[in-house]
Amino acid sequence: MNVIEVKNLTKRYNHLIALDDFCLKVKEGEILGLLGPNGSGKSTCINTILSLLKYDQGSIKIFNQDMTPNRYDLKANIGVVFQEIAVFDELTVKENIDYFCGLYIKDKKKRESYVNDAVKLVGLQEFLKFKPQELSGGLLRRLNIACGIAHKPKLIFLDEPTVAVDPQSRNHILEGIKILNEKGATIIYTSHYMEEVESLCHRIVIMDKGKVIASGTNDELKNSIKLSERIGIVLDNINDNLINYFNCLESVIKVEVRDNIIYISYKSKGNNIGQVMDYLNQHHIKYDRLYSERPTLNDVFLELTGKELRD
Amino acid sequence: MMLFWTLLFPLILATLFNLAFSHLLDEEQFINAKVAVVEINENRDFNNVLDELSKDSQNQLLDIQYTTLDKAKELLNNDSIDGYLVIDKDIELTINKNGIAQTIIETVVDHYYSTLNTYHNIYELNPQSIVNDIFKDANRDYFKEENVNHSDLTVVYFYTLIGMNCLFGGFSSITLSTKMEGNLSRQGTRIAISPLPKYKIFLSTSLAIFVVHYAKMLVLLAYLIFGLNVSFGHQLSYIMLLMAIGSIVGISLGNCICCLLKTSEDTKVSVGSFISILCSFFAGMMIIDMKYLVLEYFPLAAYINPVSLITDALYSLYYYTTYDRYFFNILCLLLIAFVLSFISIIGMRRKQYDSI
Repeated sequence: MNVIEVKNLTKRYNHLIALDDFCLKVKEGEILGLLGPNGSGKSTCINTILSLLKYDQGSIKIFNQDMTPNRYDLKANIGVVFQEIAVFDELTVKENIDYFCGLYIKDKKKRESYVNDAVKLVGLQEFLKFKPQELSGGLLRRLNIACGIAHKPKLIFLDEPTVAVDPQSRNHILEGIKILNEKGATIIYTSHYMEEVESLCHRIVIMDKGKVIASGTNDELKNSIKLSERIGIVLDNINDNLINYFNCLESVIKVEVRDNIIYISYKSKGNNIGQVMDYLNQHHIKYDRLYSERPTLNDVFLELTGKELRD
Repeated sequence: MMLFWTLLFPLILATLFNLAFSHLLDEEQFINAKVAVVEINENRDFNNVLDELSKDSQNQLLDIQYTTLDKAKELLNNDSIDGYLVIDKDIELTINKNGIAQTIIETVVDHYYSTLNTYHNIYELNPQSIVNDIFKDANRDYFKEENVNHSDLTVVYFYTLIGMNCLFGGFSSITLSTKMEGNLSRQGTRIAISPLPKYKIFLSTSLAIFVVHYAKMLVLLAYLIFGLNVSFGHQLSYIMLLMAIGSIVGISLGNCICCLLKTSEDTKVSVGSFISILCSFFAGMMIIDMKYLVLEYFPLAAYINPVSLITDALYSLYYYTTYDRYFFNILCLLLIAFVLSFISIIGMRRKQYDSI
């Protein structure tokens, strides 16, 4: 079943088109990554799906029903973690989670159990009596998440939840998201961080200027572009002969030099690295390091749009 | 900060008002002139005058003791008295220095003589005027004296303070409305996507603000009555009702400002402060005559100014025995609260926004 079905969604801010004939389908139980540079329309997309924003045309269905501001039954099963921290400074950690959970769960005993589960999930057991201003950035993000998911929603939107977060908190957050998904939640995850999206998401949608420009699994996206492998050689002496040689090789797309590293981009898979090593050894060219990497989502975005994902 | 402006600031201001105005109506401490009377020949009329002026009352001017001449001289030399009167064929005053007390005694004697001479002249020259006076007295209209409170204009300052503090309830509603509205704060966005209908949020928030603010109003009232002895008469229940309605007006004003202005929370609070202070000014808080000037030249402004209405209602409770004016002010306040609430509801009822 499609948990979310968006068709031909268009949203304008005066002359600016924030969402341009945007279409999206999200299957039940999947983690969908929404990737795109600043201003691509990720947050607008989420806010519109949640019926927070008016839109000019299109249709939005959640759990197979039309989504409107009055659909409290649908809203009861949705949780949102915004990019900005949305907690009350006057309340403690536990009080905040309890307050926001209380908007969904009326039963006090049930709510108490949900709050405890949320606290455990994000690892804030030792900070229950702390006020938000007493928490570090990472802990605050965890609190933000707990407030959004405490009521155990079936559909969760996470809008850049790991921005400016320390590595320990980030790992904790990502682990928590996986656990939520394992328990049955469908998750829409937006981020700047390609590595997170690659590791976490079952499917990825890449957006730019309000449109979907690519969609698929991690492998599908990477296989859809010309670039299939990039080999990096770290060496002191880079001369033109070396560059010319690599440029002439079959299936090489381009050769770049940056900071004493030669990057050779290949369009087909094969024994590319073996070929490079053979040449270097034959010509007694000393190198510090030689490595191969698969294309990143940034490469996918670059090939599709001509610009970097992180602008 | 909110606690300061809505609780501590009115208490501080009330204290300052009390310090500034509390002794304005106190009569100047008056020390009676001490007089010794030496009666050589009896003068019943003058004795009656002296008895009247030495009676323990609001009109007391003299402290009198009857004594001998020698004793009187001794008392004067010791400065135990301000002067002594010798009543013989004439009345003779002896003093040893000039001062207010001595002047008073002198004035009493002079006035006695001049009044006496005046009446003698009238009887001799125009006896008909005496007859006319008698007829006038017979036809006098008699008025029943009403038990009204002593007129004290300084209470207006305290009443306007109550009115102003009612409007200060708007600060809380601005802050909370900002936190509840989806396009004004992220907490509001979280609440907006919850399955809770907006009217429930609006009502529960307004009720919470009302309870807290009304409690602060009661603290202020208690301080004014018991701490500063400001007179409010004996109609506490009417005053409490008035404060409740005034608080509702203040909260509605705050909600209205919040939904009409698309600015930051601080700007909205500043606008709320400005409106409260302006209303208080035109109600006579800074210049007491302003209230009357507004009534004279812009009467409509007085009826749409909540602080003016609250002040007037309190004053009418204090000064009048009927409630017509009080209930009229209550009605005006209810109307203002209704209009402001209506505007707020229209502005806040939207569930979708153009942008967040």
